[in-house]
Amino acid sequence: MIPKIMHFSMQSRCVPRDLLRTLNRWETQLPEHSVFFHDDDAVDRLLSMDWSEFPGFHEGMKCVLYKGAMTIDIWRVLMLWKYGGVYSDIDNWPEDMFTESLIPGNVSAWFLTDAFLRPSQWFMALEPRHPILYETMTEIIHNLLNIHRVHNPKLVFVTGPHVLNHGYKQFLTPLLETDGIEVLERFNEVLVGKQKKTVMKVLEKPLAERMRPGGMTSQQVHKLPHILTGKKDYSEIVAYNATLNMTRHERIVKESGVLHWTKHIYKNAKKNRHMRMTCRQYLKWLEKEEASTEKT
Amino acid sequence: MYLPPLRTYFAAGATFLIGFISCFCLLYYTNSANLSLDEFNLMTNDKLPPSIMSKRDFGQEPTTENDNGCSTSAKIQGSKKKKSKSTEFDILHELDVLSGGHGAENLECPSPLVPYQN
Repeated sequence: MIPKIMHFSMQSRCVPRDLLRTLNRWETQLPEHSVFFHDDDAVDRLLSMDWSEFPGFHEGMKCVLYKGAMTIDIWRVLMLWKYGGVYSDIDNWPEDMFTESLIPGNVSAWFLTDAFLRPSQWFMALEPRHPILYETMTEIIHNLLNIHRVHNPKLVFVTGPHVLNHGYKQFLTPLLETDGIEVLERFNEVLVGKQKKTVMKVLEKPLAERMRPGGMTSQQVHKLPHILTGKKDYSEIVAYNATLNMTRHERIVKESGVLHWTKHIYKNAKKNRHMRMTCRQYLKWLEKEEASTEKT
Repeated sequence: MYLPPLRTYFAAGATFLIGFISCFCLLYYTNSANLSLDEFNLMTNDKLPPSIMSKRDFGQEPTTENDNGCSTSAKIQGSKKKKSKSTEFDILHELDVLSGGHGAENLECPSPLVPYQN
């Protein structure tokens, strides 16, 4: 059973007013859930723990040069692996239909579906020690240690949704062997994977209407209304101060100082241009640097 | 004596090299997949810490207080068994400490930011 715990993360516990509104909304919609907010220090505390079940983890983490999206990708997998529960990006707004009864009690993992029909990385609910998370984390470590350019990694493929999708596929291997690749395009039904654990990937109505994946009947498509909105009302014009108006999105960025990960990487990639090396090369370089500082 | 053109040797060499690399990759991935699965089974079946094992029966009934009277944000009171109830509280307490919520009760933020408590 998925524990009734919700995890959010942002750099600081001091949050913009618009995000507090979202957090309060979650508390209203899921009153039985305990909400935990993890700031950057909390993220570091979890990452610095002993992860003996994931050999090479701390080595791989040395190749993560950017705090922000990449670190949070890794953190959310570890957090749910250790404690289970629900993870949501802080800018997801639960609609009225999102209530305690939405996630069925008989599943061990529950996802929404992203635009590429992969399980959502921005919202996931799992039991602790779930095989999907194990497979995902193992793949992340493998990817980290094999990054081609540490100064400009391909986030989506190294720690992002692509890797979660890999974990999902690995988990469903028994079913893939019997039912074939179509299994990955089965939505809104309980699937049984490794260790006889169950998973459900939900396709919401708006996306289903756009994508119309194979095997979906129109009845299935209309079964689920819109339950979660990313960046709700972010284009609305709001007051920043007595004299200045801007969109809600601009206000959040201005107040929090958080850049989108693509901008963040672009900015830092320019700064770290001298580090054009693979992760393995970078680790060797670090070793040399440490040795030389010890000598002096 | 007839000697085939040089490109024939190159083609044969390249075919051999590709075959060798494919076999190597296949072996490597098969081995790594088996290893990770073995490790995984070993770990999940034998090495789960008791606190996580018993957490699987997290309960349903919501409440805002806990037995120990601590000021954490625990909202879950779990199953009716006392043992698992305390385990659930342990985990929530652990999470409260880990997330930093424990020490952020009187957090002050620069305007217009607002503090968030667990």
